[in-house]
Amino acid sequence: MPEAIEILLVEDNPADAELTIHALEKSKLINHIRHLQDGAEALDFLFCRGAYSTRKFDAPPRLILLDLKLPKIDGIGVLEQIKSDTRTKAIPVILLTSSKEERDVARSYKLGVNSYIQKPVNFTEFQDVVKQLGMYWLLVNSKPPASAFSVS
Amino acid sequence: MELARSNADLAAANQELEAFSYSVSHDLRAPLRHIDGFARILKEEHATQLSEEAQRYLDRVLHGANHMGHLVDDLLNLAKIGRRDLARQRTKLDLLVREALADLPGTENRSVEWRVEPLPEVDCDPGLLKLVFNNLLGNALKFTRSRQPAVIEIGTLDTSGVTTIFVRDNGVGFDPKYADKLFGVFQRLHRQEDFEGTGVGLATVQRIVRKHGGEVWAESEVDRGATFFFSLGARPATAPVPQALEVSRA
Repeated sequence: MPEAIEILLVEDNPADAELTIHALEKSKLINHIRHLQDGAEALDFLFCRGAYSTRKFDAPPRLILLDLKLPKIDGIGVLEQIKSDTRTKAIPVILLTSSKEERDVARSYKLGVNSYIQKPVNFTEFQDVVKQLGMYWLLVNSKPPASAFSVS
Repeated sequence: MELARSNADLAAANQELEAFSYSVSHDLRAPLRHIDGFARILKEEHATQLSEEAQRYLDRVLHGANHMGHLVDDLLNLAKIGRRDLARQRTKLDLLVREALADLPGTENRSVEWRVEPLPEVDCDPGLLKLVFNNLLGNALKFTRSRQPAVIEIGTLDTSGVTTIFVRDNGVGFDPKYADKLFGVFQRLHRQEDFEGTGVGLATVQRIVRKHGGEVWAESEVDRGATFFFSLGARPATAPVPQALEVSRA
């Protein structure tokens, strides 16, 4: 049986990915993280197709951490597809990005993002943010039950 | 024809500025985060392998990244003010000052005497005008750091119907020779070592006041305090010196 993915991190910049993973490690939230580097691959993974056609829909990630600027399909595009398909719609998606431009924030919320976080420049603050969001989404929050992913 | 074309040019220039500041906000922050992040990991998790000198250099790196972070944020705010339309409404300046005072950093271990006169109600964009007070009061507090007590006054002069607000302190002041440089972006009249800052604050103040059709100016002498004035209409022909000036110098 494949291991359940707790956090799917979609981030193309290796330095950013390393810092995020490091912050998760420091917060002891690193158990099952999957790191993918572009929007198209993230969608293949989530929709169990292409290189991921053997995956099953019944083990969705507990949480998706999504960057806004991504190669091929950007974060907004990925978000749009996740939130417009009942098989993936209930997965909590957090945009973790450099931009807090109003139009990005507004577009993300219109598409149904669960949370929008601007990465602080200061790493100590960033570590706090990652810890808080991990605690909240993985421990405090009740995860969507299987029925939340059904069509009816 | 001509007008239509210059309007189109203006729209294009605005769009370019927007794209530029968007790119600044997103793309400049990322490498800064990396510099700060990895330097901090080195400092905090590999300290035992670093000499004291190496740790001091790392502090310099972290300090530089932090400062640039502030510069980016301030510049971005300045650009945003430029492209924002004024949302004027009848505003009690007293309220804005009270809010701005609440935003100031703590003054524990300092003795600060605030003298706030009642201020008028004016037509202005309250969000932007609060930024003006944030900057002017923040500066007054910063440049009176060495004073016991620091005395900061906020008041109003009414000359020929134009409301002029002033913020006066008894701080270190500045050389009037450089008064014209005060409001330039990145212009600083004090050494970073003595007073921290990005040199964007007063440029922001000037941009906001001018958007309101007003003017901002300042008077000072080295070591004898500074007074910043702003009007929300035209500047009075002769800038009046308020009577209370001597009091704050005592």
